[in-house]
Amino acid sequence: DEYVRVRQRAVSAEEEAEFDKELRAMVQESVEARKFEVRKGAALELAMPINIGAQKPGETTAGPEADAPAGGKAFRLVTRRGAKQQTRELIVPASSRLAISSRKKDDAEREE
Amino acid sequence: PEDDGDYDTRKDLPEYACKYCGIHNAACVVRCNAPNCKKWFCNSRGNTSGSHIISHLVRAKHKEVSLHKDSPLGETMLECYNCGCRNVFLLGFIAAKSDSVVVLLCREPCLSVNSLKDMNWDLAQWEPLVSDRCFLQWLVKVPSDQEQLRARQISAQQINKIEELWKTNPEASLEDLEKPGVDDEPQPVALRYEDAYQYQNVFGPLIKLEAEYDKYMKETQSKDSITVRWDTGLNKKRVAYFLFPKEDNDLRLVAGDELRLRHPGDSSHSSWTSVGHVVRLTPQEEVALELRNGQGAPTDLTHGFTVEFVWKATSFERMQAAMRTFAVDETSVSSYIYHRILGHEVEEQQMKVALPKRFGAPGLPELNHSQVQAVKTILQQPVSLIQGPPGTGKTVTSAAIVFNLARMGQGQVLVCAPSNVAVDQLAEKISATNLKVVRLSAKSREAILSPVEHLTLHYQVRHLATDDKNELVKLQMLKDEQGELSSADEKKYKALKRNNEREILQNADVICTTCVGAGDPRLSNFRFRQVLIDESTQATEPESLIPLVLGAKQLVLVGDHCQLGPVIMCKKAAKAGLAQSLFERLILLGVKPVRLQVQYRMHPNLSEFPSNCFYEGTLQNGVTWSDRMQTAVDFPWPIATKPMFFYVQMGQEEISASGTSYLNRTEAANVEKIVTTFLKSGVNPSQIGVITPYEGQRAFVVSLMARVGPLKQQLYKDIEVASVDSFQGREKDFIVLSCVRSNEHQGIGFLNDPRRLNVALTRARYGVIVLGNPKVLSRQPLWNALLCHYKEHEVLVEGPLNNLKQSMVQFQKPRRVVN
Ligand SMILES: [Zn+2]
Ligand SMILES: [Zn+2]
Ligand SMILES: [Zn+2]
Repeated sequence: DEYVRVRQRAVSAEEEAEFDKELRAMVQESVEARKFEVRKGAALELAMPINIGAQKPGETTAGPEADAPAGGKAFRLVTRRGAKQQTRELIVPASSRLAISSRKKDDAEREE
Repeated sequence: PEDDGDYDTRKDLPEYACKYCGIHNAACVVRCNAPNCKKWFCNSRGNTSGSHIISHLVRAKHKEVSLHKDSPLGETMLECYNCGCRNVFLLGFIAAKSDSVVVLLCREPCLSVNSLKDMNWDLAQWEPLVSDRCFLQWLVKVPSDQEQLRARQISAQQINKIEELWKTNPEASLEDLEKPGVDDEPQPVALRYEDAYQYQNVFGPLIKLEAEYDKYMKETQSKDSITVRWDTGLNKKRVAYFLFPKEDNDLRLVAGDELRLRHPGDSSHSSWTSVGHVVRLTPQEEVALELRNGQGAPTDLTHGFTVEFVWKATSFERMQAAMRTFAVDETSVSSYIYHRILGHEVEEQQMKVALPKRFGAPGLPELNHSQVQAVKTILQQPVSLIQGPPGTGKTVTSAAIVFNLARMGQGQVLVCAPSNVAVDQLAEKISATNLKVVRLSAKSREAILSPVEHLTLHYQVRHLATDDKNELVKLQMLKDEQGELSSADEKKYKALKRNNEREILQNADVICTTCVGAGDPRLSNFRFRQVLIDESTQATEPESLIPLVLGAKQLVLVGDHCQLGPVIMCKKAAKAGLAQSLFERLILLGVKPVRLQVQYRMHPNLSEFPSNCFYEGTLQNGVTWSDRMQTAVDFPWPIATKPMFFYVQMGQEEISASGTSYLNRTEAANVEKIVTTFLKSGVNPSQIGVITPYEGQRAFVVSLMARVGPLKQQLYKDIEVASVDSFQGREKDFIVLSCVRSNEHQGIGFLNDPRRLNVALTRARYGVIVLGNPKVLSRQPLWNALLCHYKEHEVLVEGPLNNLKQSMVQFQKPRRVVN
């Protein structure tokens, strides 16, 4: 209900560089570890989620829609715990990579 | 028993609050799922390069998280749709080529396996969960700027430290980082604070020190061989009267204090003990103690009693609770006030208010120009300070402000002051404007006669006209008569009382209570947008915070930082800055106080020095010479038109019998002569005040007047002899100040504090007499200036009272005194 403007502090470049290094190392480590561990067990064929075609985005009950930013795009996020599959609405801003690529696809389909 | 029985008023952060910064917005936090961790963190960067959750994962080498159940996606473990991998540094979203379906997929191996490439998925557009050192903001929201600014401002160094600590102690909190060792000096107060947690980390330990000291003092301050005089009060309760000898460094007893009275018993009596409240102190400092349970009191005994203090933690607990609320409850005060108090640079704000045509209030004296200006300015500002030098109508101005605030329709106004006396005075003035005022007293003070009895909540409860009134009155009478009720009746009584209290409080326009009283559980569900604190320069910061955290959006602090500040008993805490009021710190932060400039108390001759010395000469006189001429009083003023003089005393100081204080016999003898002269010329004893900074001298003056005073004993008994501190906020027609200290080599003790001198010099309306040794006092720069002032006015005198002559005593060069 009120707006208060307060001076903000800056982050030191040194600290930023150091943190970046550690973060990159963490990602690198994760990737390396998986490279050698894979190809045993996990099905490497990514199946299309089943039984979700009936619901259109925007009709799902999970997740409030009020939070959808103007110009956002609604997706259905499919997750699964073991065999159980769940769908939740996910609002993605128009500027996100997901939304942009999906828009391109739509355009491409229309042109066909 | 009648007790202030506090509920736990502590506010705590929810479990899912960010462990770094305390933000607890479900859409903004995720839980780290590493075993033994399970801590929550938010997706804000604060003052660090990575968001809090990413900082944590990187520092702790944890990799798995889940979303909050109240977040838009609900409780969700983030994992690869295909292989179940939960390493968030590998996960990203991909979309199906149709149907607007997305899943989380890990980078290795699921994304990189070639066989997937020709499926329905758009693998080229994989969007990682972690990007730019935080979680995708549309998955885990970034808290608003407001939320972030209001949160704990944790630094990268603190993050590193706490992460180190968690490795050995996963339960450790950030407070543990700041905890000083047992022998460490406490951290001193600062001008600005990063956040309310840092504020709490500084003031919390200081309050704790003061509480411990207070407890120690009270518990060690028992007195034996007390002689008691018995009486019964109007409410039929037993009252024990006794003298409670005190020394310079002892706590001053005040009405409402709880004491325990005991007798060891003798051949015909068994031992006895009872607790009671001090209901009154006579001018001779005789204590009236109303016993909680007087039955079986050995009223035929008078000698050999022991008195002990009963220590109570209530006020300290309420300060700690207020600081905690300030930190964790973002609705406790407005953002503006929050950042102002912490000393952040905030853009000036104006309240959107429709100003009234007139700023005065019915039932109050007409306001003068500077008072009108003060009211007008204050109404438009969210935070304001009013400086009210002595006699400038601080209370009337405050009452006018409250009247105008109450008419703005912002809800009830909360009015506080650190002392009960000030609250009573203000409540009375506000009530004169016809606003509905309720004075909320501590339960331990309900038996104490108040000048605004009819405004008190306990009085109104007893006199309220409601349906269940009869029932309540009946039970009350029964309770008064029998001392207690059956448990069923007691339950009924309490419920009826609570309902009535709530109803009366809700109907009030203004609620007046002490700062500590604002933490009363009976107010815990009330919200006050507008808060005025009078005498705020006598409150510690945590004390001022108690009334603030009930929702303040507009704050008015009234006080005078040139007069005495809060009394801090613990030297360590005082040295660390606990004695600095919020009012003073806000001035240091650049908040300009509005100063009231016309004084209506002192004879113009008496206001001249204080005005020049403490108020840059800005104090104007609202009273004239003729207003303050007491022609009927025949007193040998050295200059007839100037009712003041410095009476040169060369008598020696000595250490008092108790060994802990000072007295000065010559000065005392002259005080008696001056007092007698006033009394002879028709001045009433209640018009005279004798101020002396030393308890030894106070006791000596009282006993000397009783022994050698030639007039009726009662006249001398009715003269108030007390310390500077107990005269603050009050006035007398004539003030006699006895300085006592008179040694060549030591300091001048209490008199060193300029604020104390200011208070001492500004109590009198008609005349001031200072007794002291100029040779000693002149070494202190301020006293040197005062002595020169008296000398210039030709009222630095010596000799017998009936033949005063100008003194030629040489002053010493002032030297810088380091306190
Ligand atoms: Zn963790
Ligand atoms: Zn955080
Ligand atoms: Zn995978």
